[in-house]
Amino acid sequence: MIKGLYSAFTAMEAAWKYQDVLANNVANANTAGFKREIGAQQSFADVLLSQQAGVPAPLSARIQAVVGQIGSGTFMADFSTDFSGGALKTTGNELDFALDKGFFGVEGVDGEVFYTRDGRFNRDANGDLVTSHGYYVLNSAGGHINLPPDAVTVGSDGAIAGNGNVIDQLGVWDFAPAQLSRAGEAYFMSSEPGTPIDGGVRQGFIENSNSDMVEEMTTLLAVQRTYQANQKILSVLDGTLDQAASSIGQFGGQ
Amino acid sequence: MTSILGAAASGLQLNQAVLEAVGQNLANANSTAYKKVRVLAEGAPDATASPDGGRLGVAEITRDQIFSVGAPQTTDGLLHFAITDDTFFRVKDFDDSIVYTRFGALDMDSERNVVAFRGRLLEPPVTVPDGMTQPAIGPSGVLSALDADGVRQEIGQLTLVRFMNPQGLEALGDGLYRESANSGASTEGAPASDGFGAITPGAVEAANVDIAEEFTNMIIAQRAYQASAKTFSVGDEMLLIATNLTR
Repeated sequence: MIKGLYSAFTAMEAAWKYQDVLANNVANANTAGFKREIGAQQSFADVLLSQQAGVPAPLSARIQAVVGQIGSGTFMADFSTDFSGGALKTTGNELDFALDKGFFGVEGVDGEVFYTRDGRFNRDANGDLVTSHGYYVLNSAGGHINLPPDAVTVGSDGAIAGNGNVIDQLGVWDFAPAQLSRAGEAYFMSSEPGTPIDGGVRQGFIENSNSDMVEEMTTLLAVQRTYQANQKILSVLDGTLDQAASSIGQFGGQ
Repeated sequence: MTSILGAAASGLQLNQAVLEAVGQNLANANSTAYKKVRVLAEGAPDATASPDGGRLGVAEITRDQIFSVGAPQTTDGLLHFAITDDTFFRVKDFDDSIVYTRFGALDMDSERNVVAFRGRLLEPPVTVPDGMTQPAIGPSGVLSALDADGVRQEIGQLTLVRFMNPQGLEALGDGLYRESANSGASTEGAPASDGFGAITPGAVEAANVDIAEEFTNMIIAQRAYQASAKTFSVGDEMLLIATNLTR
């Protein structure tokens, strides 16, 4: 019976974690380059419940260390990132970019490299191509990109041209989903170098978030009900335990 | 445990900011040389993010001014012009500081100075000499006026200024901008020379607001606001359930 309490509790715990992820997906429904997270609920494999501390020597011969079996709780196994592309939106701005495939490379303040599909870039005061955080956008060789003050055009192969001359090459890298870890809403990091690709750069577009509002809201409400149902189970079990503790063993007929 | 509420609240804030920007853009859809603002949510790069933490909703709300060129609107004013690239011209504000604008509706004041919006002097100032009439501006920025014989004489030259990062300029209102540390180096030149586009005389630049785009943004923001509000109330109900676990 107490095991039942824990099963209901783990399910409620899992529901909370799931709601945090869903709320984050909803809030970022308009964050450029955001990739939603999806959760997979999994039950615990049946595990043997063991005593926490060893039993002193004279007793250990009689008391088994293994107390019993416990199972059937729920826990959120894993949240994984859904890397499917968001809808592309035309902005017509010179330094807005979207990618068909792969990620832009961005250099952080400590020289660490982030990968993102949020291609809303700017010139900084020195003419370097930067994100709105002021982080440098990388060229295909991993260096900074310096732009002239005049308008530039970027071809689908990532070649940046100003006044008809190719100035630099926008870096685009592709990864297997498992190689990337989340580092902020629209940013990822990887310990392995990506595969450079040239192609599929679109100037004047941005990629919207891939959150699906209908799906997020539906799941949000469903998970809320799961939470509620498990709370009900908890209170029923609580009532039963209450009876067991206070009624069993009472003298009848009083 | 309460990060669901935080995430939902950040969604409410973002969409409110988007609606404010839409309101501002629509109100200025007919303002000369107005540049639309764009509010977007942005993820913050975080090298220390753990796989299980940091789901706090919208990380940052950015508000950019978009300097795309508006369409020229014909006014037939002799001193009116529309800038056709991403440059500015220089005027002197009332406190004698140098500011930049694209508001190309010049005029002649009572002291025969050629002035920009609300009587601000050009920098350097241009004055129409006594006895000359009908000041006008040409495609290459040459200011001229008719002398007593009816012959057009040059009285000044308007130059354009281009900034490395126009979005870094400080917006002062009235279509005026001030140089800042973020706007970077500037280059100056006459229209129709050295990479500067010719100006369009007899016209002013319309706002670059696209009404259809604004309404689309408004609908999206409104629905996203609703979704965030619903998320908030779901989180609230779940907290209530949790606090009622023990009776």
